[in-house]
Amino acid sequence: MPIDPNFLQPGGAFASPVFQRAIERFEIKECEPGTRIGPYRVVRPLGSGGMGVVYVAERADGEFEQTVALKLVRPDSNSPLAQDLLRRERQILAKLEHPGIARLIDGGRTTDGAFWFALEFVDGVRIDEYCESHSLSLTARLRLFAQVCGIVQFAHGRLLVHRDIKPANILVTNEGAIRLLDFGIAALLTQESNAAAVMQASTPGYASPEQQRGEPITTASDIYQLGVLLKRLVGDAPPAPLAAVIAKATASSTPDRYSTAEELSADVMRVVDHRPVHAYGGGAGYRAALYVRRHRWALAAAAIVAIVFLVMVLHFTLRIRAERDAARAQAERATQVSQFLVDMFSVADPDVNRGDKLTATEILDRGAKKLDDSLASQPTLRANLAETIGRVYMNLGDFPRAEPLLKQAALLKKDDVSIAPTERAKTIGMYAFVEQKLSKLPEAARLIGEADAILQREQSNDAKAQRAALLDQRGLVLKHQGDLAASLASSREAVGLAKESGDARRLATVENHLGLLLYTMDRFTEAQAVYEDALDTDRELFGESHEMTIDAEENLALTLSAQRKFDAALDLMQRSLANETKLLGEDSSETAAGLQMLADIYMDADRPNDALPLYSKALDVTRKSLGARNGRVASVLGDIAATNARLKQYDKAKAAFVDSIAMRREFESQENFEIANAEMQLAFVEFNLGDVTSAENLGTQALAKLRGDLGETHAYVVDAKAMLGQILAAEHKNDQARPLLEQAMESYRDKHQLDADEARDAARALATLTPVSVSN
Amino acid sequence: MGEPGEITQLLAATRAGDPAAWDELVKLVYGDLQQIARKLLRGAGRDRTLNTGALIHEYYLRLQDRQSAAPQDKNHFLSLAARVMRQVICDYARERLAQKRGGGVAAVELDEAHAQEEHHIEQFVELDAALSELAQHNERQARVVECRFFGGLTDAETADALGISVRSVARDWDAAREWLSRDLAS
Repeated sequence: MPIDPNFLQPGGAFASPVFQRAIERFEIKECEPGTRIGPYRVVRPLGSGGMGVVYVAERADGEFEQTVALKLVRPDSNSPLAQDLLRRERQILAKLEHPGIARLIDGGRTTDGAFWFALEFVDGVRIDEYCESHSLSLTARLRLFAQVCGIVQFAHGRLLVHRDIKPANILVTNEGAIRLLDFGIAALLTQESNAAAVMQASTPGYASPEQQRGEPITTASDIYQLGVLLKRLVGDAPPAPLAAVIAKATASSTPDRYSTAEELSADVMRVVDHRPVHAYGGGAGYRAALYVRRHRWALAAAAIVAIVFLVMVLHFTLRIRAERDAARAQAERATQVSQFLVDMFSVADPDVNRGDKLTATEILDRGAKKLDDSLASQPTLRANLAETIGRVYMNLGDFPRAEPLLKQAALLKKDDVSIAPTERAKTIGMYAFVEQKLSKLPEAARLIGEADAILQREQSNDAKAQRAALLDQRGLVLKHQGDLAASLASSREAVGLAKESGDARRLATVENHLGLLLYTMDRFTEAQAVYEDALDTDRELFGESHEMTIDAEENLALTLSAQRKFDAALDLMQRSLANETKLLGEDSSETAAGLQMLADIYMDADRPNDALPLYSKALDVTRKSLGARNGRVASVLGDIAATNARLKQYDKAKAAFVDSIAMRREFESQENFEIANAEMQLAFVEFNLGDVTSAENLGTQALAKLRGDLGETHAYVVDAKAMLGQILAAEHKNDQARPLLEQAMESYRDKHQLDADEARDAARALATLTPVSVSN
Repeated sequence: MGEPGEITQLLAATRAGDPAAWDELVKLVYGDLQQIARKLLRGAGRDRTLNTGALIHEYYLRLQDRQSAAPQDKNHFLSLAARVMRQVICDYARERLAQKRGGGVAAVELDEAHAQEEHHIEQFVELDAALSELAQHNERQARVVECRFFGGLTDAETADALGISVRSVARDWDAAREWLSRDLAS
């Protein structure tokens, strides 16, 4: 069956009822008492956990009386299908007949796809609460724990792993007997060892390192969880032999743990009996559970290790050479550095790491962590390493991790006069960049000032070029902070410095930023001067037919046009278009954009007859290069419509507007102000065609939308007020028309646009209202 | 939800071209989206309609809170969520189709809404397979369809997320739509 093009629309997936159903499936519905699930009836809720909800339920078919704990679980969609799940469950049921294990009685799937499990209902208290409320002695606690170990051992003997041993799953009955809950449920749900499901299915704090890493789970994971449970039961300050037992049970690598629950239990009972414990001594204390987090991103490991290594060796060698005489200091440093290297790379050693593959980032992380302890007496080396690692993170776009490292490097280097000022400033500049990326703007500005202060004393061209970059960056920071005046000052200073430095590339970049800033501030004369300068630089540096030069020409042309210097603007734009065509060919969409821009200038110059053929050509080229229907075609069509309206070709204008708006709706999935603006113009065209009612409705809607998006003084809003005012005036709705027209006139006056056609039309309409207001 | 910073890191890694990181991300985000959808559904009251826009947006806000995710990651993240949406919906559709073919569902009276749903289920399953095939010879077009159809991203957002130009997005979208309907008709 073919895919229906009507189905395949932007955002179409959400419009489908199937999406709603798929999402609903995530929900675990709350069950009211009395709800039937399988052969059971819900009595009351018992609790909810990460995996689902638990109810107390009774047999509903009257066959016999039975109270169960009914667990409703929403499995991960990657879990096996129901049939497999239930088959496995029956196998588990057959295996687990033990008085200490709450039995799994039955299971199935509800009509809406959730799994349910009926478990033997145990009337008891959580093991940790039981210990507290009965104020059990250490010995009594250890005996209870040994009971737990015995039950786990039974299950392990049948090759079953619990996976979620924690106080909430271990109850003590009135008779003081232990009952383990939920055996096998975690296993059922996670047999594909899906990392996310395992994480969900196990409990934070109780998950073993291999569980956290999403690796295959073995009985060793249960041993780990038993160790955590033991720690919980005996409190924070266990006697030394017990601490050794816990350390051995929770060792981060599985072969270091007790190999069976029985062994663990035996060692615990030795503590009870004051006999020597196997785990104590013999290096067990060494296992500081150094848990190396496994990052899932592999980089070009060798390359980064090589960079770090190079920095170290280089630094080391230089230092040693420089301090040849200080033989003792040298020996000491040599030891420190080599120890640091050994530590850093020893994580990559499979013997240390039990075969867990490490990525370069892990090595970097570890290096970052070790910086403090290993190299306390080596500030410069520490700074270089922190900077190297920080820069790698920065280039990866991981700014939160780059931040502390670059901060450290910057602090260490700031006052170290043995380092060249340009180096110090560079480090601080990097730190500032990261702060800016993290939106910490005041801090970024302060750091740039600090770096600049270091460089101000330097006279070299390098230092000046570097200052130009810093001040350019500060201009951006200030612009984001909303201080345009200060931004402008900084940006200007940057241009001055770039000129002095003789670095033409830097100059081209900072001039473009300055020009853009001036343009957005409506300071066109100054923008023009800057762009002229930038254009000279670009032409010299890149030649005529280069995109940098073409961009600068286009920017300058728009700036000229904004000042109504149309001849110069047209001249330049035509020249730029010729270069662009030479560079990209006749049929490129970029060339089409150039044609459109040239036509825009003709429109600004009130020469719609000249603009129209250019827009038509732009339309042809756009269609040829991008296809018949897309956002670019919609944009050019909108221009053609506006041009036709200006030429009073209202029928043509209307058709083009309708086409353009429909296309925009299709390709710009959200309603935006460009669409509202086009609708406003369409309304005015309808007005000119005599359809006043429709024009008023459409215009009123469009103005409301434009005002909401753009405020009161945006050019689109001002024009819209003028147009709707005229429509309302023609309908003699004077009270509504007057404020709109007056506001529009005020804005035109403020913008010195009283000569424009729009302003004249608005003034004329306002004049027709005046006699009414006088007669009142 | 995943650890703080984890998603940001994985995003950075996918940018660095690590395919395994992308798979990890999908897993993580899938779980997170489930949790959030559950919560939103609970709060949505009787009619329980939920749009993905809200879902994905809510998720992104949380992510930003927790991880101070850099703003430039936003569209990249949205494209990821779109991919997860594809998986969520298509997994569901496949399961429904399997149930239907296996006769697992009792005959239901066919009204118009129901017929549309059945039709869409088949369309989603077909589309998922066709997209995987498309990805074999034009990965980028397939990604564009994911972003636009499954993620509801605008062409500008899609362009930003995939690091291509807006006009490439428009072109890819048109070409992919044409290919997807033609390929299946033959």
